[in-house]
Amino acid sequence: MEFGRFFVRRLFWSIFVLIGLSIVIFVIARVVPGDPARIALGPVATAEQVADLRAEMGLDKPPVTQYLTYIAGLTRGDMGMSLLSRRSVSRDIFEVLPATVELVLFTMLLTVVVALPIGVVSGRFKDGVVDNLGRMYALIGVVMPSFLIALLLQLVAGYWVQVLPVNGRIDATLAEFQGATGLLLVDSIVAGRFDIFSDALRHLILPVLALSAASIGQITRITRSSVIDVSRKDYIEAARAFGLSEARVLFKYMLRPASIPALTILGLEAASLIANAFVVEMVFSWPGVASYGVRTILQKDFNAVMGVVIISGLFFLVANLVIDILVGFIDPRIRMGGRR
Amino acid sequence: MGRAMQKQPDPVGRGETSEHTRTAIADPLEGLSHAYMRWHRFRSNPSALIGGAIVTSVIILAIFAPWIAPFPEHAGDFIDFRNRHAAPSWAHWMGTDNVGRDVMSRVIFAFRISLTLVVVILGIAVPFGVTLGLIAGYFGGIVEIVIMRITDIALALPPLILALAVSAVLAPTLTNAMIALTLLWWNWHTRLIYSITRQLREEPFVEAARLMGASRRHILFRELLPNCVSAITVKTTLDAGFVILIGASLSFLGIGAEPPTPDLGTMVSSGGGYLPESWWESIMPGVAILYAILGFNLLGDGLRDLFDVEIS
Repeated sequence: MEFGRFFVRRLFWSIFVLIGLSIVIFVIARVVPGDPARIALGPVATAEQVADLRAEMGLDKPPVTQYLTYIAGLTRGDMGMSLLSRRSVSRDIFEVLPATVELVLFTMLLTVVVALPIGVVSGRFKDGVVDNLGRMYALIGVVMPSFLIALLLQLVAGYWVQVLPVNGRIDATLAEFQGATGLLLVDSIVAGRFDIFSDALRHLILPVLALSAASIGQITRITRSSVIDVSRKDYIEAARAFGLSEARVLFKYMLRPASIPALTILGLEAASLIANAFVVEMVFSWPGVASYGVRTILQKDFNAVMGVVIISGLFFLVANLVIDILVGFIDPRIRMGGRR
Repeated sequence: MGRAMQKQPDPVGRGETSEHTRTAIADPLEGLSHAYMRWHRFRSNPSALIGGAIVTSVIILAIFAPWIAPFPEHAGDFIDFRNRHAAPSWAHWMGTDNVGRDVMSRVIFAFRISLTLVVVILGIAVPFGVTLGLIAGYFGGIVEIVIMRITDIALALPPLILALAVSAVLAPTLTNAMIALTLLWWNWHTRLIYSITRQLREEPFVEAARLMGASRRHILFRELLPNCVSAITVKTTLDAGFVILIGASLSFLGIGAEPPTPDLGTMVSSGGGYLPESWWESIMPGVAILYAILGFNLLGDGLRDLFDVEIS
């Protein structure tokens, strides 16, 4: 089974990267000067109290033992205890994770839905109206800092025109709603609460627009240039010679090979999406991983910081794994182990 | 994962040599000096020209800030409560902030921080990344595997987040943000130079140098490096924009220059608290960031067309 082997190979590589990542973060968080126990307890704590906490957290053991303990915990989903809230880091993170997942997935979805068609049309009708507008948007999207887009959207759509909410995930009056997955859009549909669905959707619009600007710009650019590349290929000529309709040539024979580099880049984009999510979540007071991350980072909550970085890395790897598999489906040459 | 460079290597090498051959065929500028031809081509590329103008203006503003800024003393901890939250006017083109300081003067001074970030981070990370890329691409084998696997791991992390983590563990200062970003920036250059070098290492001129008994150092830095110069220039120019962007994002999140030193990201975040009434306090510095990033991007895109190189 060729595809199974391809999948296993990719999975193995992802785990390898994750281990490397955890070592890097661990070295940064633990070997760097500064005593986490002292920071957690504050300057007034006695030396015995600090020593007790160090023992409780395993900080008195050698770094290698600490790392292995941490990794062993990680495989059970245990990321240690938050130094400040004194709660389990994984519990804290899984509370805020759905908000970020909803935001980022929606952004990726919007990116694909908007950028691929615009890219195809721009590439096919090079230098046309769509192409020029698309290129302008792409340039603005790529060079515009996401916090500036976020602030401008907030200013225009939230304050001046007042059509959309600018803060949080859901209206305060509906906030007690709890679902199984934490993804408000999914939970509200399952529960049949369409008032909550529409409110959550309205809260989602501005952050998603702010977050997607850069990736839509990137993906449009990539799709456009690969459509231009593909359109010079002989098989496109052949397809036209056979008298296939232009739409069929465009969306069947051109979009498929052209979407491969676009999807690959989208996977790499996931890294900057997470990073930009940090900024966008701050602007819109979005209660996600990023807000949590910034809070804990500024308070030097080591275990929580590591948890956030690991989760971000994990998200990046899963996104790339999914995209590689998707690309494997689209392009048989890749899953057969050939070269592009 | 060789998605970086799919172009076939230029048989005569990149950069200087290829430009000679191209201009030799039919160029109306034949007979003019090489430098002039370059300038002419640069001038007829609108993207490079506009980008170059913007970048030059940012550099001039940063260097001569004390003489250009209308209120140089406002770059420090100046306070004028009677003038706080003043809208843009003839006296204050970008308005004033929450303690009455001229936003434009602070923006001009803040370019200094942004450009310091660019020079320090790229000045250290680019030579390091390029050297690693040359080594991995030329030697191959186990060296290549080790370097490129480490690079792939380093690429799997959003720089902003790792920079946040590193600078938070140390202390949320500008210096630490710079250290963190420097530690993270080399890998993109390693990837780029690796993909070029890997294609070049079988070229006859490298073979020839090897046969003549040239040292490894000579082959790496005298034979291979000159062929990477245009790619490095383009990539570094584009990177300068991203460094400014990430530096601003970091200081927006609270890791940057200590107040009262003006820092664009910090100004955006502190001004954001006065939306929507005093919009200029956050939007104006934001637009200044956009201006600088746009300049470096246009210049980079223009240079890419001029040098005819592909950057992933």
